[in-house]
Parts: sequence; C-alpha cells; structure tokens
Amino acid sequence: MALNFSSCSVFPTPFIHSDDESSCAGFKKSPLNSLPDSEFADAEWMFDPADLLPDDPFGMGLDGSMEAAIASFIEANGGDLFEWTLMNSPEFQFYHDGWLEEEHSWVEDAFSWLSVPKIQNEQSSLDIGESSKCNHEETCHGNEGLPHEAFVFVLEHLNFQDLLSVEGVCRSLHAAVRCDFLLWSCLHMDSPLSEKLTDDALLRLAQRFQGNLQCLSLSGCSKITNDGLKRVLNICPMLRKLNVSGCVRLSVDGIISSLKEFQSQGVLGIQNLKLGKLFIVSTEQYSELKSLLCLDQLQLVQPQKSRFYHTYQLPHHCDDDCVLDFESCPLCGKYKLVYDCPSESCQVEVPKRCRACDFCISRCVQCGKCIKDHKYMETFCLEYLCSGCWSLPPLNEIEEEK
Amino acid sequence: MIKLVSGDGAEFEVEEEVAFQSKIIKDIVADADDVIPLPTVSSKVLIQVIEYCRKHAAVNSFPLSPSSSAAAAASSSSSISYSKPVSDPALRAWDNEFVKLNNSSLFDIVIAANYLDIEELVDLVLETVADRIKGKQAQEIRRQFNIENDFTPEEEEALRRENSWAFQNN
Repeated sequence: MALNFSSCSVFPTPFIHSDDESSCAGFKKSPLNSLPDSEFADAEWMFDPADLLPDDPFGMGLDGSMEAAIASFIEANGGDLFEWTLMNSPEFQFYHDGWLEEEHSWVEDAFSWLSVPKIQNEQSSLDIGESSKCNHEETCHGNEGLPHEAFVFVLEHLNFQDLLSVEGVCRSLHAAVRCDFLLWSCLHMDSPLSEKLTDDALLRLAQRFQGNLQCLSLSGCSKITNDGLKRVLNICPMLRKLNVSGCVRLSVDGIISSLKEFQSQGVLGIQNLKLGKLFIVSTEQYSELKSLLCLDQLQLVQPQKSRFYHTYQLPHHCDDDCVLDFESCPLCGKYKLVYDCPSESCQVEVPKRCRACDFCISRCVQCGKCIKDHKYMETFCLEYLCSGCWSLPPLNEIEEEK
Repeated sequence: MIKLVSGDGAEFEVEEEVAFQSKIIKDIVADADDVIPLPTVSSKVLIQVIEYCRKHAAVNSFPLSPSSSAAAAASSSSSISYSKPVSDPALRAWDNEFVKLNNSSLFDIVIAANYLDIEELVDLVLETVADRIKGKQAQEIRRQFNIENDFTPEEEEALRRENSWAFQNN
C-alpha cells in the first residue's frame, strides 16, 4: 500500500483528488469536448485547482497535508490505490476505454502537463527579455517603497551633504548611513557645507562617531573656533589626522593648546596635521608643533612628497602621510608651505633652487610652474597664469566637461 | 569560449577575454570547466553585463590611440587631476550611454557586477547613481528612487533640526 501510494506524486492533484469541481474541469478536457486544446491546458495551469478546495471539506479534523487526507481516505475505503486513481481520473478512464490509441497527440499534450516546470524553463530561455522583465517587476513589487538592496553601495560615493540628505529619506537608509562604520571614520567637510559648519553642529556630528573618528578635515570651516576644536578633540580619542586649512577663526596658539590638551589624555595623538596657507608659524610655535607630532624622530624616516602649487582644492587624501605640511622655506627661512616646481627643467636641478614658499617664488595658479623667465599674465584675483595655461581653458571648465 | 548560465537557465557563450573582465570568472575558469552557472544573475542583467565586458575587452586589448595617450600624459603632467587615469574618450562616451538606464536596472547591474567582481563596472554604475543623488533633498531622492517615507513626523522633525545647519541658506 505504501509503495503504491508513492506513485501518487506523479499525478497532479486534480486527478487524484475527487471533487465535483476538479472532475468537472477534467471532463472538459475530454477528447469529446475540445481536443487538443493546449490553450486550455495553459490556462488551467495558471492556478492550481487544489487551491480552490476547502482545506477540510468534510469537517474531518484533518489539518495535515493533502496526501495524508487522501491516504486516510483510501485507507478508510480499503480500496486499491491504482483502481481508485483510474476510477477518479477522467483521463485514465479514457485510457481504460481504449481512446488512447486514437488520440496520440492529445495524450502527449496531457503528459506534457506533468512536466510543467520544464516547459516553463524552456519558455523563459526562449523569451529572455519578457521573463526577466517579469522577474524585475516582481522584485519591485516585493520591495515597494523600500530602497533597493544595492542602495547602500552608493553611500561611499556620496559627499557629506548628500549623506545627510540620504539619511533623511527613510528608516532603513537612516540606519545604513548611521551604522556604516567605514563611512564614519572620516569626516571631510567640503564647500559649501564647510562654511556653514558651526561649533555645535561639529560637536553633534563628532558624537555620531562614538569615538571612532580617525580623520577630520575642516578645510574651509570658517565658523569653527579654537574652543570648538578643543571640545571636538575631547570626544574623539582615536583621531589621527587633522586638517585645519582655511579655518580662519583658529589661531596657531589655539591649535597648539588644543593638541596639548588632547595629547595629555593619554591617547595616541594626532599624527598628521595640515595647516594650509593661512597660518603664520613662528619658530617657537613650529618647534612646539614638531614635538607634539613627534616630528623630530619621524622626519628622517619619511621622505617628503613633492607638493605643487595651485589654488584649486585637491580631493581629500586620507592616505597622505605627510606629518606636518609646514616646513622651513629654503629661501626665506620662514615656516610655510613649501612648493616644488613641476617644470622638468627645474626638477633636474640640484640643489633645487625652485623649491620655496609661494612668497619667495611666484607660480602659475594652474600648473604650479614657476613663472620666472616665462611670459605670464595676472588674473583678476591677482594670481599669475603662465603662457602655457593661458591659452588653455580655465581648469574648472575642463572639470565640468567631464 | 566560455558558457555562462544565468539564474533563469539562459546560456550565453562569450569569448575568454570578455568573460575575464570578471575576476571571479577568471579564477573559476582557472580551476574548473568552461560552463559557469551564475544562479543569482538574471539573463536580462547578464546581457547588459556581457555587453559592457565585450566593449571593454575590445578596447583594452588595443593600446591607447596616440591622441588619447597624449591627452592622458597632458593631464597627468598638470598634476591636478587626481582621479583615475583618463581612459579612451570614446570608451567613456560609450560608458555614459551604457548607464542611461532606470535606477533599479542600475542597482541590479551593481549587484551582478559586484558578485562577478568587475570593479570598473561597479564604480561606473555607482558613480552614475551617486550623480543622480547629488545635491538633492530627501524628498527628491524619495521621488526619484520610489522610496516611501516611513519616519514618524516627530522623528522627521528631530532629524530636520539636527541637520538644519547644513540645509539653511545663508
């Protein structure tokens, strides 16, 4: 009995289960009515007739699977499964009556029903565009109103202001922006946001990092004060890199005292400091900065990268390992940003006479080459433009074209 | 030739250099056979990915044309462009056409390209999507990406207050 029963799974449910509705549907398929009718077959397979049946039509208290119900039904009748199947399935009644031989095509049709999944596969591979479109729409409907699962990948390509917008879109994106550890170990302020950043806003932002902030770039943050910097450093024990270029409200003394206080907390301390063009550092201040950054020991080990002059802001580089951007200008001896010359003729010179601060040697604002011995023009902002860059369109226009 | 089988059973035959744009396929082929099932990639997406790989394989197999390499040299000497090295302008134009798709198609490509480890394609598509987000307010992003606002009014107000410094014009 049990062995016989396992063959049941070959037959689709409507044939096995005898119910008024399903057997009616089966009879419509009879060769007398409409044969062969593959259209009908497709239509019927759109839904499973078993779905139409009540779970427990006779109130027998069966909550198991359909198979269990049928098994118990058969058991109760004490009948032979094969006979029962034939009796209750119109198709096999035809077989019984010998119609099979006459209707080969129909039988093939009928049996192909049994392997529906295969047919669907073939269809989908034939009509790829259609089927994938369907899949696609399904996924859309499944996630109605929610961001696409790949949305989080985009976050690292957004700047800070856009991240603030994205976190206000919905809960899941809010969580994604706030929780993404990688996004929140660096805080780089760009224009125009940098001009709006106040001490309080910076402090609130820094609190989000829960002490994980490692790289803080306040480039151009004109509202940040010495006090604000000090408070932020207090809650960022992991901070390694600090960029304060263009922070007009900060003073060198203020920065030094903030760093001293920071260092006194027993943290590892700032390892990279960028001051930018605005600050003027005295010899005493420079030596103090050097000792704060442990520059005395490090300078010998780390070869300095070439720095070229131009006014356009470079993208932020967390991997820029320059400890302190200031150094003593070889010409005037003051502590400033010292530039190399990108001009090949100047680079081969030893010693490099063209290495100096921007005050000692005038340079082209676009390419950074020195303009001695060259034709140049002065721009509206009193910057110099060499003859080579003069004929080229200004750099920001090239950027826009990209 | 390598046979790629998409999640819905469609088979695609591609040349080795096209398939090898994907690092993961390169690794698989090195120690397995030439039929590669990609169960998580639908055929619609796979067609687009193959289209991209075919184009890039064709361009990368030839050295840069003299004009474009000169342009690359010029931009590197000016030492201002810190972005990726300038590739063939024609290829960049083709890429720009390639990504003119709707958002969900782009996201599907990102998932597939990420899975197949095609770094350039991932970056290209993510940059494209990021460009569509840049400079937009939350409401505009919701509309563009068909995302529902599920914040309570209180949460939204708290968030707005917290970020108000960034969105006020002064």
